[in-house]
Amino acid sequence: MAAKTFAWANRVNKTMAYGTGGNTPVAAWTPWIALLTAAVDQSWQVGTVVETTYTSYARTQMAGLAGPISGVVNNIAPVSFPTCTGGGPQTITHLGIFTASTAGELRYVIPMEAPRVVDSGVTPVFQIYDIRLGEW
Amino acid sequence: MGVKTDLWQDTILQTMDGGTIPVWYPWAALLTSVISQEFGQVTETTYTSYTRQLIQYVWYWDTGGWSSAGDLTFPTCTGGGPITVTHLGIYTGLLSGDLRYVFPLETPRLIDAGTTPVIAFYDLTVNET
Repeated sequence: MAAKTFAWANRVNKTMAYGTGGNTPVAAWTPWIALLTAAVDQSWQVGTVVETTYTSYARTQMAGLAGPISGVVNNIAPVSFPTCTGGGPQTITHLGIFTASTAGELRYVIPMEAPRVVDSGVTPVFQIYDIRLGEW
Repeated sequence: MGVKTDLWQDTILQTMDGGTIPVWYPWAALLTSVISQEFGQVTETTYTSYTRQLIQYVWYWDTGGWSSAGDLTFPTCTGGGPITVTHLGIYTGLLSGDLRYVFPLETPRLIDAGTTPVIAFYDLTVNET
């Protein structure tokens, strides 16, 4: 299940009107999914992760969200990444949810149930409800 | 340690789908029962002179949590007791509003005539991550 980065949690907290740095609304944002090859405990919470670098790779916009219901959203359409044309094999261990197609702020990290190896010819696809993003 | 209600969690997630979170004012409430904190099914105390209190001092952690940073004093009970307070709730309004957090008290507190409930520094704490 997903967990939030410190930066995103702090941003949500500071929507409260009081306290140092408080009183800051949160704007709508577009989630972009990234394939990560490393997200080490403690480091990912401060936004430090390693994104895959296979040839032709790009983040994919997470569109078609179901919910949220009870603090969870799911993808209701398959999410597909560009087919690997080189640079493999690379092992994907986590998904990262960023605010932009490049750079941006990392807001959630989702560990994969089973790591996936991406090599030439492989098209990483996540089927409906494969991506489960929770907020606690 | 406090937990978010489902409604608040969903509000945060909806920012991915066009929603926004405006600035809100955290009002603390004394709760006498919590049927389902996830679904916001709680009972608020009804002692005479009771009102929710605005949390004006908040300490934001660097690691995604927050705490109240000042004593929170509720009106002195002038009747309607004894009532046992088991949890604190954080609402977005004085009289109504959304319930966003529920905090279990380490020890339930009995409130009767003459009692002034005080929630001490840092007794309200949330770890968001």
